[in-house]
Amino acid sequence: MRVLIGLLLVVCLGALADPKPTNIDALRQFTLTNPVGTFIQKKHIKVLSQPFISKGEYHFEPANGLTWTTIEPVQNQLMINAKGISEIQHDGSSKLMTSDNAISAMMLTLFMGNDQQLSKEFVVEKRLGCLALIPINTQIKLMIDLITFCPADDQAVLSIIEVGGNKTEIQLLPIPLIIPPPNP
Amino acid sequence: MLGNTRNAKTLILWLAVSVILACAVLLKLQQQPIKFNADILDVMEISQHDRIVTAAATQPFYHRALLLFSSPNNTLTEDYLRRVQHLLADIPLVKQVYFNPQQNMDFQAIAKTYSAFPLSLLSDKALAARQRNNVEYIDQQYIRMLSQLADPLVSMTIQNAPLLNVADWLADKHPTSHWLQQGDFLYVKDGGKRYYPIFFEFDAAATKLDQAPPTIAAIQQVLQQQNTEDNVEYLSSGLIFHTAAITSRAEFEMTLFGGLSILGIVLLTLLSFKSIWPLANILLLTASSAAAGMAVLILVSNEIHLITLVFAISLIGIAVDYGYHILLMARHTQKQGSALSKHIAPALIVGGGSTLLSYLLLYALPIAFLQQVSIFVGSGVLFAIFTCLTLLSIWPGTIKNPPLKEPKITQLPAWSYKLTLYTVVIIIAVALMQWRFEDNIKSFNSTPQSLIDSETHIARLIGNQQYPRFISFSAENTQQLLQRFESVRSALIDLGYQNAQLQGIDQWLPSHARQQANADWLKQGLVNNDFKTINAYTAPMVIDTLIKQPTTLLSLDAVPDVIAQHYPAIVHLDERDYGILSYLGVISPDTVALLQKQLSFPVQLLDQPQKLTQAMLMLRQYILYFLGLATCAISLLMICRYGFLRGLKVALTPVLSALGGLALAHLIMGFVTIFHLLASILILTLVVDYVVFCQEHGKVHHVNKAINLSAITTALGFGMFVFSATPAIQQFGLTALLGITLGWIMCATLPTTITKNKG
Repeated sequence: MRVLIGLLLVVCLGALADPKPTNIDALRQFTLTNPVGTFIQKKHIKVLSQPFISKGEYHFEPANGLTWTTIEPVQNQLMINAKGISEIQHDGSSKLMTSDNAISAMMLTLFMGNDQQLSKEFVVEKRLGCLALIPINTQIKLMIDLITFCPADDQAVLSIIEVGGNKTEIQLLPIPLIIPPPNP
Repeated sequence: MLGNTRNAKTLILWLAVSVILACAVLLKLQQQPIKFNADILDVMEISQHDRIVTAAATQPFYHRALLLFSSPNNTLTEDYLRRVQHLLADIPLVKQVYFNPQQNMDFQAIAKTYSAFPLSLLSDKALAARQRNNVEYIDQQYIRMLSQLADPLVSMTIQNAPLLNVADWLADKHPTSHWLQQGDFLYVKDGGKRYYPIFFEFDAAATKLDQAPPTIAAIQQVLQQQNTEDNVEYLSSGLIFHTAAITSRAEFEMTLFGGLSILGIVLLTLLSFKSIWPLANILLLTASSAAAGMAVLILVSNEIHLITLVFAISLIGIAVDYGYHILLMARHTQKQGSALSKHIAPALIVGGGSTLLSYLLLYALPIAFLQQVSIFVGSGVLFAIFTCLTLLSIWPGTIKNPPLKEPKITQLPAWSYKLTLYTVVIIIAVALMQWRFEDNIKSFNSTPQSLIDSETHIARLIGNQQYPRFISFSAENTQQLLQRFESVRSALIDLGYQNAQLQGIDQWLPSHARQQANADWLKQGLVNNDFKTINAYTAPMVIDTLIKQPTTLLSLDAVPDVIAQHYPAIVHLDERDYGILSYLGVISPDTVALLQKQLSFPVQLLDQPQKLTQAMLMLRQYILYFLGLATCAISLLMICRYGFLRGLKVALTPVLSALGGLALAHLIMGFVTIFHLLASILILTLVVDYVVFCQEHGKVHHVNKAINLSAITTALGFGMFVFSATPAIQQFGLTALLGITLGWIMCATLPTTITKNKG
């Protein structure tokens, strides 16, 4: 499960690397030059009466890894680095959620300039201006049909189409998210 | 020789008995093939109950193994791992070889199974919320899970379990571990090196003593071939590696030392008789005795313990002893046929009778493998006597030499016997002052250091996941048992143990009582509209259905096999259900005592080494009873034959030899084990023969020579075992060497006042 999260993050961050990416290298290049941004996530799940929307920020530092912060509708912060995925607790400490995934290794591999690893997990194709990632990994294939990344002028959209037909759309924006403070 | 009708009849008699035995064995084998039991636990007196519960506890762990591969320059390729996996999977008794323990898990099927119980399951945190009636938790967790980047568990369960409590519950089950992932492969990093695991699952038969060595040899062959090409190193973990290493080494040592022993017998016999025929006779005698012992054992037993054959090796020493006596007697007296058999019969019957009686007493012990040793050696000794009195009497092969003039025996001064006697008594007394029996099963552990190092290294890399400790408890039925699981788990967590490291089927199967309470609480929340977000995103009809439909409760038979096989099974025994909780770490008896104080039902720490130690203690006590009885029986037999005082004096030599051997071994090693005691049976029976021949024929040259030859071959043969790296074999060998040497010295110094000197 968290393998997916990591892979998605890899793609998300990579997506902002270049408005018109032609390959994974271009995505990685942007990540290194523009590592902070916001996201809006829409979950289209059949059983839900309306899409579930969440918003937040991401922040990447090569030395510390990636921070994925959900701000709405609930505050939650994930730290992804070589040790795995940690959930940042209220007191500022981090709790290792699990480490048996390829996230940190994949991320670091990618940002260090080795994109061969991502190619091992997915068949990477170009489709109508989008980058299509078709899972190779047996476990991921059981859950995910396709991941697409479509860059536009000032944003990018990442879509995850699950085996059952549910879909998650993540809009990535290279600007800080302005959310009004909660009422006192 | 065959022209002699009497001799011909004797020969026919021997052949007839041999053929009848062979035919009977063939007939038995046709009706029922013989089974060899290599399970060490079966030779121990461990209760059926303990055995079944322990087997259930260890089953998920004992048939598994792990190899961790690394290369010096981290160039281990996926191609290499797949190639090795493919080759290893083809090895007989290897059931599965895989890179990721979870790769065979169909998460969608699992999610579907558990989603069928939409209100019954709550994660640990949700359960704590229920106990505090914190209804907000369910709503908050719902939002949190939907806000995650991507969580397949949500998609997989939300259709049937729309509160996402089942997704939350399943997420709780994800074990934390030290593995990182690279595609289909896991790895762990240490000191700049990557270690890639290959997990094994073996057929149950693979861990048996007879199957483990060839299985591991096949694995090692594959690795050797592949690793040479790719310069790869590996670490291993798993019971089967230890079983194979110990068994292979024991087999090698038995073959080596057994071979050297036979070589010693061959050389000594050739040197002594300077002819091939006596040697052929000795070999025929030992082989036919062993075959007869085996034949009778096959006839009376349907299953033979392999360990029986290890201890039955004593028969060779005894048979060789008889052989030397009859061959030297024939050479000295120039008798053969019935004359020779009549001449030697009293000594053989008294000596052999004592041996036979001793081993028959072993049959009285309620330990199956000792009874089999008794049958094997008893029958073998009987056949050895029979062969000596028949075949070897008519065909000794030593009478062609000219009659020998017996050289005069230089009688050692009487004080030499007293000196020996007092020395032995002092040795025994000194040893008795610090006497200690060692029954701890760990003292017999002969695992090679490299395997221990490998286990330690793996434990450091991935945590102690291979050899858990087990706590068992019972209940009247499965539901009560599951409630007890929950109580034990809760009490252990209170004592500071980590929930994630407490492995049990209860993790995937809450009790019906708990499930019902969970469902009641969630339904109440839905009725009261406590879950605002859930209500906002879920169609009212779905909520309505959840409220109105009867609660479905998860039962044991619904737990998927792919999950259940990772946990000790619930055992139904004597109208009760037994549950086992395993902990990947150390649980001390003190912890169990503390745990017991918190519970209203008994719990038991399943400590297999402790059980084996207790079984060894019991076995040792039985052997001690036997040795006591054998001493009494030999003494009575000697008294009957030689009169009270002289009989006692005669019996003193074998008894003191056996005790002296034990005492010396104790002084050297600091303790005495069951294997020292088993060697003392051999000493007792052999030295009885020595003194009986001294009594029957006097301390004449040929008797002395026979004793010398017998003592040298036995002491050297078994004495070789002191070089063994297997503690049990070493202990047996050391005691035999010391005891036989003492017996030989005592016989050599026996004064004529005790022996009947015909010289």
